[in-house]
Amino acid sequence: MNYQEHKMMSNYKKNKAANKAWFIISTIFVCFGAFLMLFPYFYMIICALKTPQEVISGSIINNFWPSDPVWSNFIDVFCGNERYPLSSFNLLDAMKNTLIIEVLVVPIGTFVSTLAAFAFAKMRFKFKNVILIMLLVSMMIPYAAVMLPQYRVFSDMGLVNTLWPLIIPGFFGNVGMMLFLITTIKNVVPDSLIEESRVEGASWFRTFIRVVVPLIKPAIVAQVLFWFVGIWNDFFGPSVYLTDPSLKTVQVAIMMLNATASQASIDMPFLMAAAFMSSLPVILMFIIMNKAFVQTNAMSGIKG
Amino acid sequence: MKKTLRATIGVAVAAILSLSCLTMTACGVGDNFGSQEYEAFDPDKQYQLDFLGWGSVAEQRNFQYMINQFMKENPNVKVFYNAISDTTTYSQNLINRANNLPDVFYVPDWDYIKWADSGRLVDFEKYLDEEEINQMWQKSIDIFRYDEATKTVGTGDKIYGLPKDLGPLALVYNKDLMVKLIDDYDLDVELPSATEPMTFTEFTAYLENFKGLKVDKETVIPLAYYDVQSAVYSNNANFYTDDSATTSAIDTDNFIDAIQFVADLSTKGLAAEYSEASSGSSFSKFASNTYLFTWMGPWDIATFWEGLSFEFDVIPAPKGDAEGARSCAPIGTVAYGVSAASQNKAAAVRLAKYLACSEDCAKYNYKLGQAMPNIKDMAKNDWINNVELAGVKQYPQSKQVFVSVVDDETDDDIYGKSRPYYYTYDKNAYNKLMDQFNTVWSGLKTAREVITGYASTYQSELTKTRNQLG
Amino acid sequence: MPAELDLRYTKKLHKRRMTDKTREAIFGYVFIAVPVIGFLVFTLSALGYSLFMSFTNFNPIKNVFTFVGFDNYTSIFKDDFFITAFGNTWIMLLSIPIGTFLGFLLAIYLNKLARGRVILMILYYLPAVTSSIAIMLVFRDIFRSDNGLINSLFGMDLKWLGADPWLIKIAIIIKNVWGSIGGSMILYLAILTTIPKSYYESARVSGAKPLHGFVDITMPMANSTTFYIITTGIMAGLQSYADSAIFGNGLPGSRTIVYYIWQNGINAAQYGYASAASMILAFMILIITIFLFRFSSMFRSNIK
Repeated sequence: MNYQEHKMMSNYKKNKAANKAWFIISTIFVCFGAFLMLFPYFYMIICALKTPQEVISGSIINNFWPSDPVWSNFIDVFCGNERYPLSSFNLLDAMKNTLIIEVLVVPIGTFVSTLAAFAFAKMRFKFKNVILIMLLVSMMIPYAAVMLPQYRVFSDMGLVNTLWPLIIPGFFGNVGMMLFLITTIKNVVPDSLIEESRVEGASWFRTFIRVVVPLIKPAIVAQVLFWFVGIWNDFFGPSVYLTDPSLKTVQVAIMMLNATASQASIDMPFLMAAAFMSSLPVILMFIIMNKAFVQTNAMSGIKG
Repeated sequence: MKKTLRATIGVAVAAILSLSCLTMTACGVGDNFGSQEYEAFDPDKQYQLDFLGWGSVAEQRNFQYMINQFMKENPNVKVFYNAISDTTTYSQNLINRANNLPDVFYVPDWDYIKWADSGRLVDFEKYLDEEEINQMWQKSIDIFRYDEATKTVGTGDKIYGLPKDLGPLALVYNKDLMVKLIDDYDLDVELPSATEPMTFTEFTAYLENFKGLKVDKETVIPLAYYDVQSAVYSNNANFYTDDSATTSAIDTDNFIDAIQFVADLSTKGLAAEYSEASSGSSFSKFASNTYLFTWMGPWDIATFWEGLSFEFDVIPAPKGDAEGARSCAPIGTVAYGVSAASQNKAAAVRLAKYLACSEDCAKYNYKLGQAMPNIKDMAKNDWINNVELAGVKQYPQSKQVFVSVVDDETDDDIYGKSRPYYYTYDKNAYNKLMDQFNTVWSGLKTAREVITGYASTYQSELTKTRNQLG
Repeated sequence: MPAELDLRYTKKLHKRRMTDKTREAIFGYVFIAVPVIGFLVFTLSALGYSLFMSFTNFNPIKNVFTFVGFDNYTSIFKDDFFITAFGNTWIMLLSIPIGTFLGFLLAIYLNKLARGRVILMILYYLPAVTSSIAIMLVFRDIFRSDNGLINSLFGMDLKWLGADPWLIKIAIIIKNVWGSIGGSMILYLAILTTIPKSYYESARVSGAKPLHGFVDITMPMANSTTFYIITTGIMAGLQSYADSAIFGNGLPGSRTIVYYIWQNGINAAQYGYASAASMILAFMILIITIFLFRFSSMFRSNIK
C-alpha cells in the first residue's frame, strides 16, 4: 500500500458515515423499485392461478388472490388439455422453434458483429464512417417499409413458412450490437495494446481474438443477452412469416391466446401461465450469463 | 463532413437504383392472376389444399374438426389448415402473398371489395346451383356479389365469396339483474319485447327506469354503449347516398339526430362513456353486473355461456323516431374466398362450399354456440328451438331476433345492413369520421356542429377511397 | 554512400509501411464484409424498392402502379392524423431519458454492491424478459378505469385508457419507463465492469480524489453508453407500434407514426402511401441520428 492509497483510505473513513446514510437511502429506493418491477410479473402468476371468470369479474384489489388456485394451467401449456389440445397450442414446440433460431443466429451473428465492430473501432480504411452510417440506416427504416419486398423475395425463394427468413438475416450481424461494441472497444481497448500485439507479429484476426475480445467480454455478454431476449420476445417478424401451427415461435403462440379475431373472451389465466412459463428459459439464460459481469470485475481486480 | 455526406449520397443512390431494379423484377416474376374457367371436381385425382384462416385456439380446433370431416368424405383431398391470431396480421399476410395466395382463405367484409376488385378470386357463380343458393339466406349470398361495371358490392352476378357466418348484432340484457331490480325497487316495468322494436324515445325512457339503481352497493349503468351504426341505419339514415359509397350523406337531419341520440345517452348517464365502452371492457362489465344492456352477435353465444353466471336474452335494435325508420342492426361477415390462381380450384371450391353450405358444418357450429346457421331452414327451426342442444345452455331465449335481422322474406320492421366500411375500399374514411365524434360523445360539441364542420372533409376522404378502385 | 544507404532504407521502410496500411485496409473491409453484404441484400434493396414505390400508387394486391410524383408526400403532410401521430410519437419518447437515467443510477448502485446483486439484477431485468403481450395485458388491468389497480389504490377515477389524449400517453410512458430501466442497467453495468480497475488506480496514483475518478473515468465511459441507449432508444421509440395497437387499443391519444403507417397505409393496401410515410419517418430518424452523432464523443477514443 503506497502513500496515496493510504491517504485515500483515510478519506474513505471520513466519508464513511455519510456514505452509509446514502447507501441505506438508496437501498430503500432500489428495493422499492425492485418491488415495482416484480409486481406485474407477480400479478401475472396470480392471474394464471385464477379461473377465467374470476379474472373478468370484479376489482383487482378485492379479488386479488385466487379463491381456489388452479395450478393445472402451468402444466397444461406444455401438455395440452381439452380446450387447448397440443395440436392447436404447444408451448414446448414453440420454445423449440424459437431456440432453433436463437442457437443458429446468436453465435454466428455475434461473431460477425464483434469482428466488424473491431474493424470499425480500431482499423483504418477509407469510407469507414460512411459505411457505418449506412449500416445504421437499417435500424432507422420502419419495418413497414421493407416488409413487403422482403416477404416477396423470401416467398419466391420458397422460404415462407420455414424458420429461415428469421434466421438468415441474423447471420449478417446486428447493427445495434455492433454500435455498442464499437463504442466499448474505443473506450476500453487502448491503441497501444493493439499496436503491441501487431508488432509482436500477431495477425489482425489474432489480435482481435486474443486482445480485444477478452477485454470487452461483459459488453458482448450484455449484447448477446439483449439479442437473445429480442429474438425470444419477437412477435412481428415471426407473425409475418409463419402461419404453420407447428412452426410457431413463443410469442406467436402466446398471441394465439389473445386472438382479437374472435370476440371478448380471452382466456387470461391460460395466457398468463404460458407467458410465465415462456419467460423461464430467458431468466435461466440471464442467470447463466450474469456470471460474466462478476468475473471480469474480479479478474481485473486481481490484475490491478 | 461535406465530402462524407456527398460520398454517402453517391453510394446510396447508385446502390438503390441497381438493387431496386433487381427486386422489382423479383417481385414481378410469376405473378399469375389465374383464370375463371370452370373446373370439375375429380374424385380420383389427388388434391392438396392450403387453407388460411384466423381465430382463437378454440376456433382453430373447431375448424380442424370440420376440415377433418371434409377429408373423411373426400379422401383424395388433403387440407393443410393454418391460422393467424389477429385480424390485422391476417389482412397483412394476405396482401403480402397476393401473388401467391392460399387455395382457400377468409375474406373479411371490410377487405372484401379490395379482393373482389383484384381479379384474384374465383367467381362462385358457376359452382352454385339454384337450389344451393335458395337454401341459404339471400343476404348471405348477396353480400358477396360484386358489380364490376359500377364497382359496387352487394349487386351484380359475380359471387366472389361464400359466407362463413352472418353476424347480426342485437341488444342483450342481463335478465337476472333486470328481474332483481324490478323486484327490489318495485318498478312498474316489463321485460323488453323481443318482437316489437322500441323507438329511440321509448328506449331512452325505458333505460331511465334503471338509472342510478344499485345492486350490492354497486351502481348499475343501464347501457354499455349504443352501436353508432345501428343508430344511424335505424333512423332511416346512411353514411352514403347509395351503396357505391361515392357521395356523403352524413349531413342529413336523420343522421345528425342519430348521432346526437347516441351522445345523449352518455351525457344523460344512461350509458357509459363511449370511448370507455368501446375499449373492449364492456363484456367484463356486463359479466360483473355493472351493465344492464350491451350488444352481442350470435358468434358471442359460446363466450357468454362460458363467461356469464346469469341468464341473458336479446331484443332487436330500437328504431329511430324519424319517418320511415325501421329497426336495423349491422351485419358483420367473413367470406371463404378461393384463389383464382389455385392449382386445385375444384377441390378448393368444394371445401369452401362444404364449410359454408353443408348441413354438417352448420349443425356443428351452432352446437358450439359459434354461429347462426347459413341454411335458412335450419336456423329458423332447429337453431331457434334449440334442437339437439341438450346439455348446453338454452338461452338466449329469443334467438329469433337474430333471424329476423337477416331474414328479408318476413314482413317485419327489422332488417340488417352491412357495416359502412364494407362498401369502401378501406376503413380510413369511416375511422376518421368516428374520431371526429369523440367530442360529441363527451358532450363538448353537438352532433350538428361537428358534422356540418366535417362533411366536406368526409366527402373528400370518400373520394380518395373510391379512387383506389381505379 | 551512407546517404544512399539511408535513402534505400527509407524507401524500403516506406514500401513496407504502404503494404501494412493496405493490408490493414483489406482486412478491415474483410471484417466488415458480412454485415455490409447483409445490408445490401436485406435493407438497401428493400429500401430502394420502397423509395421507388413512394412515388407511385402501388397496389400490392393487384400488383400495379402508376407514378404520382410527390402526391403521397404532400397528402401525408396535409393529413391531420399524421400530424397527431407525429406529436404523439415524440411525446411518448419521454420515457427514454427517464428510463436511462434511472438505469444509470441503479447500475452505479449495483456495481458497488457486494451481496444481493444478482437477485436485484434479475428483478430489474424481469420486465425485459417477459412476453410483451402479457405485459401489455397486465398493464391494461393496472390502468383499467373501473376497479383498475392504480385507480383503486389512489382512490382516483381517471380514465387512463379512454379518449383523453394525455392520460393514455402518461400510462404508456410509465409502462415504458418500467420496462426500460433493466435494459439500460445491464448496459451501464457492462460498461462499468469493463472499465479496468487499473484506470482508477492510475488516477489514484496521480492523486485524484474518488469523486474525480467518477467524473474523469466513469462519466466519459458512461457517456458513450448513454449516447448508445438514447440513440437506439429513439430509433426504436420512433418506430413503436405495439403500444398503440395492443396497449392503447388504437385510441387516438396513443397512435404513433408507425401505427398510422399500418392502419392508413398498409392495411388499406395503399402501399405507395405507406412507403412515403415510412420514408419520412426514416429520414427524420436519420437527421436525429446525425445530429446526435455530431454532439457525441462516440467517434473519439477516450483512452489512448
